[in-house]
Amino acid sequence: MIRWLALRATLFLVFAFLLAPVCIVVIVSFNGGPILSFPPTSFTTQWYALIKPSFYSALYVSLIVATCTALLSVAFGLPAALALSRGRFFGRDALNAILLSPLVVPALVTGVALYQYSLSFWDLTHIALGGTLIGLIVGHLTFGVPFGIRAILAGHANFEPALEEAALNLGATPLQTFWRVTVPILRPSIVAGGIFAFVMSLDDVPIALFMGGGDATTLPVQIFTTVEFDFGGDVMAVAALIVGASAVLMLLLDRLIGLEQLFGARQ
Amino acid sequence: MSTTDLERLPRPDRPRRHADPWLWILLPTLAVFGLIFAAPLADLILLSFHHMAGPAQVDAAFTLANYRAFVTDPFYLEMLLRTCGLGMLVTLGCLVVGYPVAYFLARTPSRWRGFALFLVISPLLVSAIVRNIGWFPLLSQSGAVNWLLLKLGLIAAPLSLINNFTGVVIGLIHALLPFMILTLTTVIQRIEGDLEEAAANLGAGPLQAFWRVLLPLSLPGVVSGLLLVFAMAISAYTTPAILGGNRVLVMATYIAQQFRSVLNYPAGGTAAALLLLFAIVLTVLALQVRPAGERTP
Amino acid sequence: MRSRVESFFGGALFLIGLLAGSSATALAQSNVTLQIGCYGGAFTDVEQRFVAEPFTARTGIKITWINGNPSDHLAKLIASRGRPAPYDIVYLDDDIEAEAVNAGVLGKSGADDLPNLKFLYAQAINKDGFGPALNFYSTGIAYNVEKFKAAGIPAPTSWADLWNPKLAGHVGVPTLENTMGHAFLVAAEHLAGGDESTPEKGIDKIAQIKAQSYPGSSPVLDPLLRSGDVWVAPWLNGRTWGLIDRGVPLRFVLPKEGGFFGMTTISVTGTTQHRKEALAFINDVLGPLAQLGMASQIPYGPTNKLLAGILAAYPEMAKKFPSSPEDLAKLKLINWNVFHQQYPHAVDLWNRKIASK
Repeated sequence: MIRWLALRATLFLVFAFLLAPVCIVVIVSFNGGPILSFPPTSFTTQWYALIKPSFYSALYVSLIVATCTALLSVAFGLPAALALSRGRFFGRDALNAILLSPLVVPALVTGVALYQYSLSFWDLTHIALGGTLIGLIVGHLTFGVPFGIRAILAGHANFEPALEEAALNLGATPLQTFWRVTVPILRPSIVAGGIFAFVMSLDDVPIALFMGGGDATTLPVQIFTTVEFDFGGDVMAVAALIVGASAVLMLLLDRLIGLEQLFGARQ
Repeated sequence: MSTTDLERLPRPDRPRRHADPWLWILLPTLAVFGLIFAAPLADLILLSFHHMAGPAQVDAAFTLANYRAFVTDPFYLEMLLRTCGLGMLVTLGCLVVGYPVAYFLARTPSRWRGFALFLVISPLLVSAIVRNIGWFPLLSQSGAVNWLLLKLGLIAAPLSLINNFTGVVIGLIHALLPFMILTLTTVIQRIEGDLEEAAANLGAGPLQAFWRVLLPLSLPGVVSGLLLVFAMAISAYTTPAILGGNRVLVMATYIAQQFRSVLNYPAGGTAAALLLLFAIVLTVLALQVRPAGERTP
Repeated sequence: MRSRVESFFGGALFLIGLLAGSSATALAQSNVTLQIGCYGGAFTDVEQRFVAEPFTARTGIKITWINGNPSDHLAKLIASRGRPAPYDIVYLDDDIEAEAVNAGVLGKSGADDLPNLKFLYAQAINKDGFGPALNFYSTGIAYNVEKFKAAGIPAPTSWADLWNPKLAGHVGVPTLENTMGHAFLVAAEHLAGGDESTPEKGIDKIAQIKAQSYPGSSPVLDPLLRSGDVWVAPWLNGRTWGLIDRGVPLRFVLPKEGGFFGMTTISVTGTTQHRKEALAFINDVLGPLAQLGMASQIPYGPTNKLLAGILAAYPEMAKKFPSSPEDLAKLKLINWNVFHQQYPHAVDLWNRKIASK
């Protein structure tokens, strides 16, 4: 009992810590006082009405890019993670470390490097990647794939090969075993990797600044360039809106398919 | 199933004489990685082997001078050390704060579990610059935390919680905690709860069960989470700049400054290359932590 | 006051619309799209409303905005050297423009290209024939009137007042990497008996300030001034007025040594493939209507002399930015070429003496 109480208290504190800035943003976005301040002085929804259409189009771009990034990151991350944890080849640990390296390089450097490189690509093919959605997705895959690999590697650490072996022994083909046994067992970490890639794509400024622009302007870039001139309530409202919309989406998903399904039932 | 039975089965990771087929499976990801990350980065980092010749320009002659200047200057070595210390402190902080939450999320039967998982990642949905500035009303001298502590009589004078190293640590632990918690949750989830029960039945206290059973079993997965958080902690530059009040110079802030403001690509490239090398060596060392019985290739 | 400016302005735009309407059929056939690097936020909104929309209606030339920081635009331009530029036109602060000129990525634009150039104040015109300034702003001192009164500190009149020991722990010193930080370094260099060529003097001087923090950008300093954690800071007129208008008890003063000119310049890039169209756009930006439009929305002073009379008639609006020849006389220009020669050295000193203490 005491153990559970201690755990509960810890949980409460950690969640308070995690959610504190989120709560501040949400509360401030409803503050009607003349100064954007905390604590709030009066209630208003005017900031939400002041959100410019360009924010919504930027959000649309961001959602497309983040979704594609998440899916592709997992698609490239899963085979790599399996190979890195099951393969026995020379230089495996080095490759493991190198595939993590995009997360060690400050994103700004990746942005500059990718931009220069996209120009060399243009020299060769006359295909412009900068300022396109594809360019943004390619840019975000640099950190998305390592997230996918890392999350799946973690989930694979205690993988019990006996289950796969049982399936194979019962006559399943390797492909069937992969889809029916391996993937379901790893599903929670696959989902986690996808979520990492998704939220980081939704949060990236430096790479999107270099690879985007024009019609391919993402929401974080839009926010970043807006606050340079005016840190107004509308920016807070946009930030709060994303949290609110995601919460509603999550609750809906929970009702429709059950997040339990996504994160995997406990054994 | 006994060990001997397992040995006899066609294990997917049985050592082979010819090229391991897993290499072929790794190949597409490696190719993409090389094409979209390694090649562009190498292109940029090669500039660090030349002298600067104007804004973002280099001369033709090959030189190691930038590297020599970096490794022989105590100022830069101190910066590297500060970066490493920051990374370790943040990683350790995330582990200590995150483990209980991950344990709860992995084991709770509550139907709100899914929503609790969402709450864990929700801070990441707030744009980084807004999130960082959101700390000001909480952590500043006149902020809510100091106000509360003063009211409770726990402190006599307001604490300096931002514009210093402490602020950077708090901000980064907060920003990276979701990654640690989610990773640990998937790891702990994969460990059978029965093992802890068995330990408890054999008379182990909860702490002992954690220390002797859960932690060793979750260690390889934990290492994965630690590496992820460490990598992100040493490459972050927005949070150190904002919550450190630009008083805490780490490798990433230095690199960003050289690329963005000074336009000294050779200097920025040198620091980036060394940070990368440092992290790769550290990662390979950390990967030597393996579950008992697994052989190194 | 603002509403009168706006109604005047609405009428003017209506007239332009009429003119544009009559000639639109003749001209609106171009299928060129200009790529323009700009700041984003309110700045791009203003340029879109008061320049781009009438321009597109008149000529058919479309505009795509690529928003970002001037330093990021510069990095992109440098990376694309020798190829078609990612922009046809780029807005840059004057300090960054000087670097862009050094890097050889901008094109020149003279009086033959830009008929409106002859109406600009001399300070707005680039001596070497590169992009002119479309607005003036100033770096001076923003301070919290209430905090100063409560602490019994007289209102600041000089840059030297930031070193007042009573302000210890309450000064927001902009980090060296931004425009305000550049200007403040020059101010400190002058106070220490040096100039743009002696960064060591300025940095030793700044290191003596007991700073609250070294904010890297306006959105970071902004909440610190709102909350009262920072009492005084070298800052821009526009951002200070933005907070004053929201009820923050701040005041903006130019120190007796003189404040510093800041300006937004607009340049055609060196490798644009639409130079003629780009110059036509820039000429519109320098025109009185576009500049008055900007001044009515965000506190930047027009560089077009023709507006002096109108600005004098609207003192409530004009007090927020440098607007008259007398105002301009209170500001000093910075020698950016000398500054940039010393800049890597200055940053190195800053890192050692300030950023890691």
